[in-house]
Amino acid sequence: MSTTMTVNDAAAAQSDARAGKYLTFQLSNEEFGIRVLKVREIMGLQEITAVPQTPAHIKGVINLRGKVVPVIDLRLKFGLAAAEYTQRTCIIVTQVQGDSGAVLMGIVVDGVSEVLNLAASEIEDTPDFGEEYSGGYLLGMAKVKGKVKLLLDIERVLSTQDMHNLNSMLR
Amino acid sequence: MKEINASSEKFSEIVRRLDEIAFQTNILALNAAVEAASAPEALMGFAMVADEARNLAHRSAQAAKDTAALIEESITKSNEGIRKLQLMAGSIQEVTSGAAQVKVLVDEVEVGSREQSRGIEPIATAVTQVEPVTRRGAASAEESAAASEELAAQARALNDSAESVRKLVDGNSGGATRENGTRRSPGPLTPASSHSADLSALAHSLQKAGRAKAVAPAAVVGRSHAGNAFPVDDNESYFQKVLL
Repeated sequence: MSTTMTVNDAAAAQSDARAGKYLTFQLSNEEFGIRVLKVREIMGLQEITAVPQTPAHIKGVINLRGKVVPVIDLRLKFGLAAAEYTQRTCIIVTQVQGDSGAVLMGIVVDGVSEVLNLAASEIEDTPDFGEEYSGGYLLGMAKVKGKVKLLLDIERVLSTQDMHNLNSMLR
Repeated sequence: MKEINASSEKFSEIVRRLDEIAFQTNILALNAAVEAASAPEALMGFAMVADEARNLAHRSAQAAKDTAALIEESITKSNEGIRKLQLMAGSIQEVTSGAAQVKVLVDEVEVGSREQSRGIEPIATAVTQVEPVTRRGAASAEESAAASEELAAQARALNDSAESVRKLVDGNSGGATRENGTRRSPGPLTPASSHSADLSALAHSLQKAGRAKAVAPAAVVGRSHAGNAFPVDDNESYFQKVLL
């Protein structure tokens, strides 16, 4: 009994760092969340300039108030089926740590939902899916109103490889 | 109907715009929330404002959805109305075609009545031709009635005269016989006596036939009362004989 308590306490202490505000969005019937502090801006869908010789999930670049920002399609990045862009489709401009300081990066999602304030008790660790599970890009699972929202570590999602490619491209 | 469709399309357009505005407001609110999240504690009020803006966006989105549902319903109903109108138009067309059929039938009836009236005309002419004939027939019937009356009157007169003759014969045989005898046979000088002789002869024959003997001589003796002595039947037969 005491052992479990210790484990729980440890988990609570660990999850404390994850508690805070998250921006939730939909992607293929699922709800995902990213830390609000990583979000720079949310915008409706706008014209994306395609860049040749890039992977399919890199949609291209947009002009964000005079700044060129690369945009990736999170559906394609996650290996989900591509979907038509609708009125609800949004681009979330995130700020991630690059090789040379902070970089802005847009991700295309099916739609944004809300900003949630998640307490540590509402966040659980990602279950062990087995060895073949490759993605270490999940911060944890948020339990909100009987549903589970996947909390993304956007820094890991937008891997260095991608950023390298894009940065070299934009240079 | 086209107008209804057009206006419902306009409604959908408005709803779409409302929805879009709600969406934009939502994004704005989320941006405000993102902004507020990175803001220092002093700016926490801003987060509240962002939250309110977000609520507003949600409400307007809900309102747009409700309006859309209402408009969808009204479009469905107007479509139903269109369908019913089409049904009605069909019925009216049927009524019209029925009326046209009725008209055709009425026309046929009219032609038939016209033919009928044409057929009646000769009948009328024939009837008018028959009329004078009937009148003539009536006239002749009247004439014959008059003649019959005349005949009846004459018969009555004859009957009367016959009656008077009979009376004469009954009441005053002498005078009557004399008169008769004079007419019948002007030859004999003493008609009364000859007649008396006839009478007596007759009485004699009757007597012979088996009549009462006492009466017969009396009749023979009292010539003038001979008629009284005889029964009416015999008298008549006698009278007839005399006339004939």
